Amino acid sequence: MALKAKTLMAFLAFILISAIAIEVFTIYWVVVAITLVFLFTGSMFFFAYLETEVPEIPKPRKWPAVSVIIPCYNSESTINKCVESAKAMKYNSKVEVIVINDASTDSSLEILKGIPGIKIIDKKKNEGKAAGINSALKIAKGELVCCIDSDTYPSMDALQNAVPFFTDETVGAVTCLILANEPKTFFGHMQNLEYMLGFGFYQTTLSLMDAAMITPGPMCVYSKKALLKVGGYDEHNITEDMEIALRLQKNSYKIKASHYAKVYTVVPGTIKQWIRQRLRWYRGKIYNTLKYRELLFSRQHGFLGNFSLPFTFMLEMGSVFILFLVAVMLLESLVFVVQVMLSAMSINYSLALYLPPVIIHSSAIFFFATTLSTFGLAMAVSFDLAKEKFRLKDIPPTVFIILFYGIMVALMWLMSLFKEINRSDYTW
Amino acid sequence: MVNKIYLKAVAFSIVFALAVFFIINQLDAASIGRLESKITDSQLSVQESNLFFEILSEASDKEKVCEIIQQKIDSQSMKNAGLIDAIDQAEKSIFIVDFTGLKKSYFLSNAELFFLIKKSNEVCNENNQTILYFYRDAKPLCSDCIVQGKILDEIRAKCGNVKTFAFPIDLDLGFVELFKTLYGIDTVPSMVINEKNVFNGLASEQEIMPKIQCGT
Repeated sequence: MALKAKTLMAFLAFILISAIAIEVFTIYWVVVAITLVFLFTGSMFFFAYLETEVPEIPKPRKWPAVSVIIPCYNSESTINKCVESAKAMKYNSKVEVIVINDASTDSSLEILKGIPGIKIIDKKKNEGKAAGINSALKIAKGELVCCIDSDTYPSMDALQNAVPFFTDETVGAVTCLILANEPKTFFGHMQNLEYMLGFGFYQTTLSLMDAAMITPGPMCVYSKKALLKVGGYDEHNITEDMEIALRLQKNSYKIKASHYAKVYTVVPGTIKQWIRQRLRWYRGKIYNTLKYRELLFSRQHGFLGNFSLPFTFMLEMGSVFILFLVAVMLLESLVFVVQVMLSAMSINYSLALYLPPVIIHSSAIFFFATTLSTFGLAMAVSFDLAKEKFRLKDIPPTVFIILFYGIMVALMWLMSLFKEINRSDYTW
Repeated sequence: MVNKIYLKAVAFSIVFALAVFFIINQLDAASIGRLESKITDSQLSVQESNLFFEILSEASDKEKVCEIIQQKIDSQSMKNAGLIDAIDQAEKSIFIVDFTGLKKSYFLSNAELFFLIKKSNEVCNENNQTILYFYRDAKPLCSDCIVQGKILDEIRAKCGNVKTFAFPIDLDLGFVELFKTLYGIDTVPSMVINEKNVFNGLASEQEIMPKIQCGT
């Protein structure tokens, strides 16, 4: 889609604000200000984590029947293993598996037909994941529904360890600890660490605060009653897993996280796929945060409205702002370099390419002290929650995450923000 | 009621930030300390050389003393030229501390060195060539000054007897103002070579070289 005038205006406005901020406060104080938000957010997470004891798996009074719902669209390479792992899950009560073939054009349907003991909904028209789940909800017999992506393989005891967290009627969903499936490449390993961090420390802490922002798509267990009461999945949302989480909480349902329930999902193998995934996620986050802006700073939604939604959003936009600041700084340097080259030319002085000296400002110590200590603590807690050991091979991806991944993610936020402003078409 | 987690987080953030700022301040102070001691060295060296001039009048072997003075001048002008880069770097990377005092004492010491060289040329008949070089330190950034600085570096590398003294015109230094009126300086970059040839504006090596007697 073409670039719209307002997108361009927004872009220029960002540059102008950055330039003014640099001019008035110097970049160092701006970075300090943003770092203070980082610091406060990080502290909130840690105090919330320390305040509340991470729960053991509760002892359930009963084991309700579960319907596993797997929407499948062109997943011939993963669907067999996915359904088999879902079927292999241990559970103390009845489990039915419903797979929706969303008009796949590959051999998914044939593969599914070869698997015994599952119900197949064969759609003739492709309607998307959310619509698939909604149609499965109509025939699901279980009191709980467990939605699993067709490229995700739950561990044997995932369901057994998630369901007990439905301790009362107000719990609408229980999320799982999502990890990358067999990360063999460096890139996969990095994403695995990121998932462990996000679903380990952060999702667990958010659920302790009743402030989770997402019921992640790879696998999540819902109370069917709650899902139906809020009207099922939104079929026109690009991140329906965030939308449903916000809608459940808007309707006073709670989201709990079980870090005991490990599931393994296939992560993007190439940068291109990764960019597509992130653009979808982050655009969805921006879109849904604005869609549910009534939750922001509303009294009845506690930490969700007062902390997790607004502060993560501020940080994400802060990271975009830092990118702009850096870009403006680089641009200013570039202009100066050109000026220097020109004045050298004016007197026929042959100057090898002039590069301004790189200066590490001491305010960077504040930024790195904050981000590194937050990151280090969150990593330590996450490894503990996931019951994994930090091994030597984890060091290179960790270093890469610290040095570059943040910049990559910030870039994705920048692209997502402007695509969202531009209202560009969504691509899956 | 505000949840106590918020209060704890705010309190912790403040303590953490203050602690880090304290550490930054210590580190900055340490690097400033190193610069200050170098500036003190420079001042002492000039004082010592002045002392040698006192001795000179009574010494029998004047050439020997002159040689010692010249050695001191050579090494100190080399050190001073490097020091300004270090001060610039430090000023750009240091956070809260004000640098004006430090810079003033450096430039003052550099000016003293200039007069020392002048004296050495007169008393000892040395062939030191002096270039007073005026530039702008703060914004708007002066691109010509970068080029002029490089050219002067090259000249200094070629001719060991050329001593350059760089002074910012925007630091509110009294003696720099005096120099400016004395030599009719009205722009940056500008240069005064051997106290008589004035260049207002960027000057190429070809323009400068005829005005100096290049030696080792």
